[in-house]
Amino acid sequence: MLYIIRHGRTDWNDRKKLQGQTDIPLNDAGRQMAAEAAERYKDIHFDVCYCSPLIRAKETAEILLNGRDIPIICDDRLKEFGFGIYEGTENSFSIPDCPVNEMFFHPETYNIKVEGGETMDELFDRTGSFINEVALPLVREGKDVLIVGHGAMNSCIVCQIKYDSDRTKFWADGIPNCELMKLDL
Amino acid sequence: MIITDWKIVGCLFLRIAAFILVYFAVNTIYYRQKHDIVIIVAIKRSEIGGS
Repeated sequence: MLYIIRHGRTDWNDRKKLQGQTDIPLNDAGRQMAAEAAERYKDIHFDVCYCSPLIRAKETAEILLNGRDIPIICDDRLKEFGFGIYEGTENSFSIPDCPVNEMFFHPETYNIKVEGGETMDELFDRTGSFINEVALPLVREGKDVLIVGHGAMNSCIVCQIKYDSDRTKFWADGIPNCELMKLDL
Repeated sequence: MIITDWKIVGCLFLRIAAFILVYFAVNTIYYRQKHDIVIIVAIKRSEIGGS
């Protein structure tokens, strides 16, 4: 079985800043959320955890699996979507011509590459490669795999597995912080 | 010879004008609300997807 969870809250989440691949740690509320999730999901079996290398995801994985003998492996393909020069923008919707806003209105047509960022196709390629090369073989062996990641990256994985890559449903599942989702591969 | 009852014509004109006015007012409110909802949904998505 494949499980996926998003990291706990950070100060940039609270300030509505675009984080993307900027490495922001959890705040106290985020650590608390991860600890509550650890208690809530303590009876769910995981064989291995794959995690984004960004600190907020790594911290979440460590708190979530604290005291359990489960390997945590970082994989670059699980990083958050890259918003390039727009990372750190606070409340991007107050900037009417901010190009990345389009991703939240029309993910199905958004494929802009902003400076230093990446396209939706690139996000789909790298997460798709992770699913096919890592997650799928393990799940087929009968392993329980946990992914600890991010809002857009998790949405992309969910979109590919649950909705057959139908990008109109990219945001369909919400992906709240520290809520575990079970995916049938 | 055509005899015109100006009261009837005036009343009809007023009714048509009132209908057009109400139609555009309702449409404006509807589309504004719809636009606001689209913005709110996108903001919620950005709070998730931005991180």
